[in-house]
Amino acid sequence: MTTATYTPQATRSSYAGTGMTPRLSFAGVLASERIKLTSLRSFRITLLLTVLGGLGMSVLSALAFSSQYEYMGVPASQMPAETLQNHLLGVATFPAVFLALIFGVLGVFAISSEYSSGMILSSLAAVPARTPLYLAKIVVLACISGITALALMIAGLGIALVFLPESAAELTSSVVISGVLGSSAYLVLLALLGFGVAAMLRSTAGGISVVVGITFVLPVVMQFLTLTSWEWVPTVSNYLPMTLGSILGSGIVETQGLPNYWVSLLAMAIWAVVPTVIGYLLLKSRDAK
Amino acid sequence: MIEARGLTKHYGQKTAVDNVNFTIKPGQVTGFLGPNGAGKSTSMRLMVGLDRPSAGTVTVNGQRYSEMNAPLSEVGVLLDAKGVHPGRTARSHLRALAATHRIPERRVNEVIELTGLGAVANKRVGGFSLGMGQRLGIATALLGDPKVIILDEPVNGLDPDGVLWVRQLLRHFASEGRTVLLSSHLMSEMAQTADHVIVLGRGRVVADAPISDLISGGVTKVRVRSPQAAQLASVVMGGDESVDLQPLESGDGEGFTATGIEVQRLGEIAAANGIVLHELTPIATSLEDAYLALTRGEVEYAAG
Repeated sequence: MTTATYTPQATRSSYAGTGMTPRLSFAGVLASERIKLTSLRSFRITLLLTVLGGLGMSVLSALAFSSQYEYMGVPASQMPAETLQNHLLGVATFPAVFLALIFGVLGVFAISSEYSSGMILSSLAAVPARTPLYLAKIVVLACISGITALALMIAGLGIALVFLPESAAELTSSVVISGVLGSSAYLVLLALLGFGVAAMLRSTAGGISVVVGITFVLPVVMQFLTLTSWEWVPTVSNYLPMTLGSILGSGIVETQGLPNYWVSLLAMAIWAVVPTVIGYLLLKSRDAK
Repeated sequence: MIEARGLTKHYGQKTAVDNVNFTIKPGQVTGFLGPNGAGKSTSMRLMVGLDRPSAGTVTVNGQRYSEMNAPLSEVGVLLDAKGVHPGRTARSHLRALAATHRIPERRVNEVIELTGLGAVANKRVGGFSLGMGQRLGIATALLGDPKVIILDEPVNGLDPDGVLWVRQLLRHFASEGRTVLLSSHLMSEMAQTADHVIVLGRGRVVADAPISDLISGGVTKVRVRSPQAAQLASVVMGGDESVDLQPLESGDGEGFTATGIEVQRLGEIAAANGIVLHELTPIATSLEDAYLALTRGEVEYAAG
């Protein structure tokens, strides 16, 4: 390490004469949050693994679908529109079921890393009003997870086309478009769910546990409970994120016995908004750490 | 200028800061001195709005920190060298914080050079030594070229070079008319850096005075060596009841340490009685003595 030489000149303001006055602004806080997230190697690696994992699962799904078509013995040119749509969405949005967990964890990291490292002290000293900090984090997280999810879905459609070129005819159908958008929205909302929970708990381990609990453990528990004859079990089960995610990933279609697309979107939004708002209120009222 | 009025902070049942009043003036280095748990860090956290006071107020240049338009230009703060994500490089850390205020990249480079972090700026902070972490913390505090600088234990972990550098830097900032506040539990550090000291103990202000007052505020002692020590002692004791004499250690020769009498007075008594003196030395009470006297009973965790 170099020894600092003491140079009084260097302490003088570098703004003198440049007409630049530092000032806190929301645009600045947004830029700061973007730098924070993208400068973390762990975040970049997680994002890369998400993309690789997503593509890999799309390929697997495409292979599984293709073998089914051979079994069915129907030439691709004679397949009904519904089969082609199912193929496209099956390949593109199938990974979302598993990626849900990673997006939730990304959301957890987006805020829990500040608490685990103590960075939150520096962040709040720079943005003492707190509201802009929290909002900027949400915007940056939503943008990064939204872009990643959408890119994955589009790549998934590409993979689906490679395996069944005839499905191109249904690419712009409302079912496929709503399915791709719905699945992307599901992943973004799950990231926000993780973010909100981590903002409440201020802990990485706690945040991840809750996200895993909600996305994977609860559905299994509910599955067991279906053995009982309690009437509320299927209802609750229908509104768990995992179910909502698969409804959203199927696009706007008839849903027998299940909440429809728009209700599912609303329910998923509530899953995200409730912890995010509670996390906000706690951030405003609690001491920094 | 930092002003605290009736400032109080409870954490659950524990009172960290207890109805504290002080004014920290610009143009000088003020030291927060006190044992661990005295309320130094808590007071600093309250100044920059990280924690909310349970009662009372603290303002910086007349404003509450949370209401400032450009907090980083008003106050630079080093609270904890760990206020950095270990996975980020020093430069990314500084860039991220600078971005909030649209502070130009040039200033980021400036504070990196100023704090001697040039060689490690692009390395991840996780691998930094405690000293480098402190330098990064100081660089962060200086980003906005602030009018008020608050540093919690800034020399912790610094090598002697670094300690000297921080001392000079703080003195320089004070000479520019900025308000400089640093905390330490090391009395010797305070004696060398601060002009004014606020001694805290168990969340209360125990003393608030220029450092010279604090040092001389203790009782003056005078060291006397004389072949006629016994004679001098009897004359001194006969004249004034309140004088206390302690014989010197046997190796130091014949003499005593007098408490409660001015050095001039002792010299005059010796001359008037024709007593030969080999030594007549006023001994200033060290800050350490003053500090220990002040905080006795205010230490939260005493040994034994």
